[in-house]
Amino acid sequence: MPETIKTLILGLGNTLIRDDGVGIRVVRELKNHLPSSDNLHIEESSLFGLALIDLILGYDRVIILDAVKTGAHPVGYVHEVGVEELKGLPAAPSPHYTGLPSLLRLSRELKLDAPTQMQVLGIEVADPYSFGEEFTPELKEVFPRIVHRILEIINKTQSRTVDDSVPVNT
Amino acid sequence: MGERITIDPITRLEGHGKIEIFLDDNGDVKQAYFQIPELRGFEQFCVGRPAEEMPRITPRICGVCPTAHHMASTKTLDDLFKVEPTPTAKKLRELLYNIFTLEDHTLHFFYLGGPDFVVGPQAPAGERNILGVLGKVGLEIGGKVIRLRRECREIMTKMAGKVIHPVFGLPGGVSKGLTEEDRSGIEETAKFAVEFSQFALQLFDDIVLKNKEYVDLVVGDIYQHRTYYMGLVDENNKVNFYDGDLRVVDPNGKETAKFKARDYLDFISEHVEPWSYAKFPYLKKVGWKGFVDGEDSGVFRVAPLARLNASDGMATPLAQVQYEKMYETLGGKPSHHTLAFHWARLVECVQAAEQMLELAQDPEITNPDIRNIPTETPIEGIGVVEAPRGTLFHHYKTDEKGLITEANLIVATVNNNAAMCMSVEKAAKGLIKGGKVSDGLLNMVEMAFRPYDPCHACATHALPGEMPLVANIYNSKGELVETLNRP
Repeated sequence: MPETIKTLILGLGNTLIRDDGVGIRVVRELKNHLPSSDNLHIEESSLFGLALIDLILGYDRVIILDAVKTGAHPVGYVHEVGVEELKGLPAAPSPHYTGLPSLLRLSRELKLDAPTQMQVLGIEVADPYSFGEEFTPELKEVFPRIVHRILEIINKTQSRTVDDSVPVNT
Repeated sequence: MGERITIDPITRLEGHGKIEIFLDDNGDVKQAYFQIPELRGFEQFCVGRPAEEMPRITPRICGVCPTAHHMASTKTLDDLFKVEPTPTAKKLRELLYNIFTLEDHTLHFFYLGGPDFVVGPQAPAGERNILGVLGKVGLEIGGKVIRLRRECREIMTKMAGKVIHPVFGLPGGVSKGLTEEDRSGIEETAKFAVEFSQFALQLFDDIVLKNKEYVDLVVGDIYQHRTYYMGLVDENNKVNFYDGDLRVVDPNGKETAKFKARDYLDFISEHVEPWSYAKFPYLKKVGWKGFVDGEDSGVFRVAPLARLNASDGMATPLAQVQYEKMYETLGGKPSHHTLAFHWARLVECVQAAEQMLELAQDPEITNPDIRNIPTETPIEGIGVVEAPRGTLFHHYKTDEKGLITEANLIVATVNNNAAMCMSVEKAAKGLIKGGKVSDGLLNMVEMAFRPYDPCHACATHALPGEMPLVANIYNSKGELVETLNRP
């Protein structure tokens, strides 16, 4: 891995809405395991859509952690999603839903310093709809395992060369 | 990468952005619903917390309009603690609020309304996005949009802290004043904003108004509803985003009510439908007559065009010129054309930019007298602002220690809820005949609710993909016959 690769690990979500804050809680844990350096930043945010552009510019690689509820996997399962898999719904009904694919395409068109590699880690949760600062018991129980799994994924990604890692198709 | 999986976004966003269409025996549309989501348990979450926490909690409900919630909440605390902000504090709040409105509106037009018009309603879905807009208007414009947005957000962060965690409004004032250096920076951005907002209208003129096909679409029947309109007005009945009285006009443009936020329960009631968590506000004195147009139906609309309809004009000169031009082109006031919400939004941008400049040049804006300390015992407070998406009410009750006992919010998207359902239904009726569903249904339906810019709260930040939309079509027996997904 060349030294010059700048990576951002970004936790998204809302810690007021139960399990929805899982991405943020995980990155807070990651800070204890992965020392921040010039080449690795760990951040959290409750922003979304176009506002994410402010956070991701200037990095070569961005790994996003967020809550997902598909119902098809057990709570705590970590989905690994490439940005191209989020595509396919081009005209969003609100600018706030401007997704990562459009965001990246836009950044390139405007010649902004957009990341070349991007990955979303979606954490399966039970209740991302209700107000509350506590996780559901199901999520609470598996939380340490989620952190462990995500560390595994990140370490695996970090050890790959640029050419092998997830490309962003525009 | 590892395992390739497909996340069904509809599952993730269950009940969010869902359209249900019911057909009659002939296969024509009997009724259509547009469901907006509601987060559960907000009131319980607030009960027992100090009221002063509300301006910090409510912006975090969702990241779409944190500043609107922060300001509505701050004004509710003024009312709760019976304290007026100092003149400078009021101006600082208005300054912040105009910057927020400008930023949000500009973004909406170029990212959301823009694609339908600038790229064209018939353009392939894949081109109807910001990139399509830039392809048509040039990259330089895109750079300007991004620059304006970035500068506005930087100013907001400087004034009020992180956009999603504002620490600005306090009962009776604000937490931080403005230095001369900050002020002059804001003035520079404001000058650019005034110029850019007018340029955006010129763009609208060149691309939309000079194209007969687009104008026909704007004034066509499918996107038209004769409803009541509500918005905040100042003492001269001019549009105001931050403060004033609520004014309601009927479908003929005649004033039928003017009231203080405090009295909103005398004027607005909420209708409940079994299929929706979100309620349907209506004008109490006119009554709920169902999802129908006209003077006898209490359905009202809020947001840009509604604000302009409910006012006698804009509060600033350049915006006033644009206001007059808009109504002249649309054939008079009030205008019932839903797609003209996009146009009205640009007119409002001009006012927001002009007021930003005016306030930045106000000699009082750097005055350090920014707080009146409350001394009264709190009981109940009600506050209102015009969020970019329309009128936003906050209403709190507390015990004598100021701990919340009841909290109610009526957000802009909910105020427009009935009208959005009507718009969706009208579009569906125009596109489904004899059980045959036109291919363009989803886009036409989207165009019907996009002008309102519905805010889907929690649905938004969950997964940074695009917002999905699904339409379920049921036959006269209530059986699901077709599901349409976009694209």
